[in-house]
Amino acid sequence: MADVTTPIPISVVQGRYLLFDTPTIAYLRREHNVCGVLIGTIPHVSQQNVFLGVPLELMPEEARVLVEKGVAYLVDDALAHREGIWGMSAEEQRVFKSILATQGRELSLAGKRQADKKREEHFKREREKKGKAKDKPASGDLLHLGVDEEPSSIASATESSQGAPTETDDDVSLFSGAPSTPVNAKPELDLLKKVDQWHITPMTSHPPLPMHAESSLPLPAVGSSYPLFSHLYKKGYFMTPGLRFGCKYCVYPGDPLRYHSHFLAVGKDWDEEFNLLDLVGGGRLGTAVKKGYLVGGREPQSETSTQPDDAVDVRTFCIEWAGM
Amino acid sequence: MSPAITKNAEYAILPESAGVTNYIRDNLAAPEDSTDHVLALQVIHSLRHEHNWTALELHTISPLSPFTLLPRPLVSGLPPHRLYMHPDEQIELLKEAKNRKKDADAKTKEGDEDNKGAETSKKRVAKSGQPSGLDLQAEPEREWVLPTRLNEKWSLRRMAEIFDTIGIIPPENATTDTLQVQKTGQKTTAEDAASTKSKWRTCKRVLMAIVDHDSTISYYIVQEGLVKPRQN
Repeated sequence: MADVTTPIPISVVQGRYLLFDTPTIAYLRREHNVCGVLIGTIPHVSQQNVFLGVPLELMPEEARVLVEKGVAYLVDDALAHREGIWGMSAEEQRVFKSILATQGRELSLAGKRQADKKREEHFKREREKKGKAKDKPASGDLLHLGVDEEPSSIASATESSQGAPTETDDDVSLFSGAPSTPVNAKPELDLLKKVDQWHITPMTSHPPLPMHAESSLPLPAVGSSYPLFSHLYKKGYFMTPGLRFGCKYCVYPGDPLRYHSHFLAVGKDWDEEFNLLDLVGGGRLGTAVKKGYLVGGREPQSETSTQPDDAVDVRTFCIEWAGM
Repeated sequence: MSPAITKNAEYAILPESAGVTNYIRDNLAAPEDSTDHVLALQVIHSLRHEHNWTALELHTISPLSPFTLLPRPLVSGLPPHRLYMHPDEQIELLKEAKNRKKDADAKTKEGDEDNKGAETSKKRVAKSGQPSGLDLQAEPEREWVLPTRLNEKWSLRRMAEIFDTIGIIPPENATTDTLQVQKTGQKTTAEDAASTKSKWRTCKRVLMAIVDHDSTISYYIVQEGLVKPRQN
């Protein structure tokens, strides 16, 4: 995961905390015990919701814990994008466009090469088939004709595929050196090359936008369960949203792909009142799925002033049905 | 007509009060005792007669050093079986049981070979006299019981207050406020269990008895800290 640079920008879109970069998502999961939830689907096939992709939505608690740890920072996505695009200089715009053009041409060449290869394979197969047919005495003249035709087309195919690498080399040398060359360098050649180019819709905004590690956004707003979340996080547990189990967080002792969750956690304020029926329901539900129901919260510091470490001042209680 | 009248007359006589009512009336130290006290007695009655608990005691004073008054009366007692087994302890005991079984099997096999060696495996097990299944030998442990009512509101502060006033294992003999315990033959086992502290018993544990209006009592184990769940 060398290609992930910290701090990681977390995009804030409409009050949701999103990540769009797969290596980053993998890095956070592997190194920082943050899983989030994949929410990306295909815009026109939104009923395809079994296998979701990026973006990854983080719980406010997850975002906050990462920001407090210094691993990530928040970016107001809309604002950053607008300012970034409007604030681009002409030179930056040109460089970005040339990068896009290069990528487009590379893609189109790759596509062409693939098509050529396919065609070549096809002709090869055909030739073999016809060769077999030729061995048989019943083969007709038409087949002969086809065999005769073949070499020329193959030749053209190989020609084009041979031509491809030189073309790309040319491209790379031209555009990797683009910033240093003047703007109007070989415009006719540029135009000619653009004929074949694919047009790319950029999926990321950097480049062109630079990344600023400073953020003016406040820390994510979190509820009364945050002390418990933070406490569990510091102990190395993984948390996922607990809606499916009727709690605030599902608490896993390791990666959720490897472990069953241990606890159904609910965070509360120290003096927040709750019904015993909640404990009964939670305890019974948790025991039914081989988990413990966990309630916890931060004890006010004034009472336990001897322990300044904030890992200590969160107290938790595990509830299980006694079976009697 | 006359039989009907006599029947009515019989109905007019109040039925005898229930066992639990008598128990509470007899054991209430003073009439002005709190309703929590009554609740604790009700729980004791349930534990003794519905769940076969023994060595039940009522605590009103904390067993820990300042010996302050408990926020509410607590109960301690000895269940007939082990109430809670930590999953790691369970694994260890299962391993032991497996080894025992293996040893027993090996022994019977030797014996069979000495005798004849032509017996079926079924007979071997039957002959061995050892328990064939993986039975776990876990001594029951004394437990704290916290009597509560379902319609009460609780908070983390109140739960923490309870846990702050108790130790890991209830005291063997509460010298402060001991209820007359019906001493049975099992009293000795209770003392044994309490005196030999299990190495697995490392966090405070309370059996929460939740009593509803209809006197249904449901029991939940509450432990302080992060204790991984049992695999049942």
